[in-house]
Amino acid sequence: MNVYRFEVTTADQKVIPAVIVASTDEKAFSLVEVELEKYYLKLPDIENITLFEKKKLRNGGGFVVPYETNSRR
Amino acid sequence: MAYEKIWANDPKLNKTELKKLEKDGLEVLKDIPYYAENGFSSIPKEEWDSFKWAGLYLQRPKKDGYFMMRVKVPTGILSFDQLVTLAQISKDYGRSIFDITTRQAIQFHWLTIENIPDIFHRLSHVGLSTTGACGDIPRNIIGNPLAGIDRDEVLDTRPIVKQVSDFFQNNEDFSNLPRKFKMSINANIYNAGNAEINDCAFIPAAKVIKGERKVGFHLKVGGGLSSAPKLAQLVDIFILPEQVLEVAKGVTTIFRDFGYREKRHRARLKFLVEDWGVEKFKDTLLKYTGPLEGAGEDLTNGWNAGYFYGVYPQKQAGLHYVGINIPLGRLHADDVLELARVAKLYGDGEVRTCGTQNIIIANVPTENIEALLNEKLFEKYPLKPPQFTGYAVSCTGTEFCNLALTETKERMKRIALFLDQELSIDVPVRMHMTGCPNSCGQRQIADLGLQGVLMRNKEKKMVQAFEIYVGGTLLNNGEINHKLKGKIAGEHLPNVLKQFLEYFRDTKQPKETFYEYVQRVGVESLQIELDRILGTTVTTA
Repeated sequence: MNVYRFEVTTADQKVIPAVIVASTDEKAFSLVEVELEKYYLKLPDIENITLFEKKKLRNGGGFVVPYETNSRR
Repeated sequence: MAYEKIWANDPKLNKTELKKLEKDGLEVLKDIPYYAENGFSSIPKEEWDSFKWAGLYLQRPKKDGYFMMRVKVPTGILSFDQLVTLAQISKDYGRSIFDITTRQAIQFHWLTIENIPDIFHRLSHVGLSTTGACGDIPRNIIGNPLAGIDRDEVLDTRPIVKQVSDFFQNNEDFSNLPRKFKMSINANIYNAGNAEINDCAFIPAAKVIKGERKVGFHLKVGGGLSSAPKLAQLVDIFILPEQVLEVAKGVTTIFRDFGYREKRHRARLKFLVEDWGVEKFKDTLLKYTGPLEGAGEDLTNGWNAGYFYGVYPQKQAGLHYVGINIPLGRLHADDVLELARVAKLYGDGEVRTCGTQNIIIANVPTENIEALLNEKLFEKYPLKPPQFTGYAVSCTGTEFCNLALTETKERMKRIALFLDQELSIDVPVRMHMTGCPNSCGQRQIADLGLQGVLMRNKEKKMVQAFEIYVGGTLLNNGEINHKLKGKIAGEHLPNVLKQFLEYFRDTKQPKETFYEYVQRVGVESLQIELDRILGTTVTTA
C-alpha cells in the first residue's frame, strides 16, 4: 500500500488538499473523487487532480500538508 | 571497541540503532564469504540492510537477489589499472553497466552474491574499496576532480584526502554513526566540492598567522538536500592542512556521540547543527581539536558547478586535462576500456570522475592533444557537448524508482536535444529534472529545476506534468531555487521551456547567467512570463 498527497484544483482556482491510501496510482486517483463526493454536498467544478508525492506504507506514514499551497493550475 | 557508545542506554533508540548495537555494520564483511558460498537464500532477510556497509544495496525487487554496488573514488581520481579493473568487473558481472554518481563514485548493477568475493579481491588488488560507500558511516570523500593538476587550486588536496579517507576506512570507531555522513575536501577556488550540500566541507581559505600568510581551509557543517534541504553553515575557524584530519575526526565524533538516534529521518548532522547553532558546534569541536585560529580570508571565488568541458592547461607545464561529457553519467564497459586505452596512449592513463557525472582525462602532453582529439570516442562523448545536453541532470525516474511519479531520464535527454536544436544562449542553463519531491536529481540547486507530478484533468485523462523552479545555486553560500506557480503537461514541456528560455535569452544582459538574471529581474517577473506562456498554450492536454 502507498500513501498519496494530492491537490485538487477547482475551476475558481481554489486548492483542496487530499491524502489517500491505495495500492495503485489509478486507485488513488479514483479514491480522491470518492472522498470529494463524500465531503461535498454539492461537488465543486474540478479542473484537475494532481498527485505530488507518494510513499510506501510499511509501518505507517503520512505527509505534512502545506498550509498555503502555490498551485493554481 | 575502542570507544564508549554513550548513547547505548538511551531508551528512545530506533530499531536500526538497536540492531547496530548488537552487530556493527562492518561485521557483514566477515559474513559475505559464507553467503557467497551458500547463495542468496542463505542470507537472512534481517541482514539485507547491513550489506550497505559493504557498499551493496539489493535492487528492486529485493527477493530477486541482485545487488547494486558502489565503489568509492576519493576526490574522483582513478589510475589506469583501477579504471580497467572497474570496466572488467562491469563487463564480467554487471551487464556492462558503468555509472558515475553525483558524488564521484562508480556504481554497478545486476551483481549476485556469488560474484562479490571475486569483485572485492579485484578491487582490493588495485587499492579500491566499497566499504563505507553506503550505510551510517563516513561516505566517499568528494572534492576537486582536478586535485593536484589544477591551476585554480590553492593547494594540492590529494594527500589530505588520502589521509582522511585512509583514517576512516574500515575504522570501527566511526562505523556506527546516526546516519550517512558526507564529507567534501576541496581547494579549488570555484567550489568544485559543492561544499554547501555536504555534512562537513573543507573550503579554501588563507590567514596571516604570526606575520606569515598561511593557506588552508574554512569549515562548513550541516548541509544536505533530501526532502528538507539545508545549506551548510560556516564555522568560525581556520584550519591548516596538517589539522584537517583532526578537525574531520572532531566533527565526525560530535556527530557520532551527539547526533540524534531516535528518529532516522531527523538523524543527519544538519538537525544537530540547526538545534545547536554554529557557535555551540564550534565550542564543542574545539574541545576535541584543541585551540584553532578564527576564520581568515575566504578564497572561494565563485562556483563552477563541477563542469570542466574542453582542453585546459594543468599547473604542470606542458600538460593538459581534457573534460568530456558522459550523458547522464552512464557508460558501457567497452567504452570504459576504450577510454582507458585513450587515456594511457595520450596521457598516463589517469582519469577523474566529476560530481556532474562526467569524466576528465588527466596529464596529456601538449604534443598529444591533436591526436587524442581525433579519437572516435569523442564523437560519442564530446568535449564540447551541445549546450543543454551538456548541462542536464536527471534522477532515475519511473524506469527504476518506485517513488517517482514521472519518467525523467529519457525525457530530459529528449528535451535537452530539442532545445539544442531550437535555440542558443550565450551562457549554459543548468536544468535538473526529478520525478518526485526528493533530491536525487539535485533539483534544488539547478538554474531551472523541473519536478514531476501526476495530474488527472477535467476529461479524466492522466498526464505526467512538471512544476518549474528557478534560481538555485551554490554561489555566495548557496540558494535553493524558487517554485513558479503552474503545472505543465509533459508533452507541452519542451515548447513551454523553449518559450521561457527564449524570453530569458531576449531579456538578459550579455553573459548574464540565469542565476544573476533571476536576482536582477526577480521571481515574480518570471512568473508573469510563465503565466503568459501558459495562457497561450494548452497545458493539460
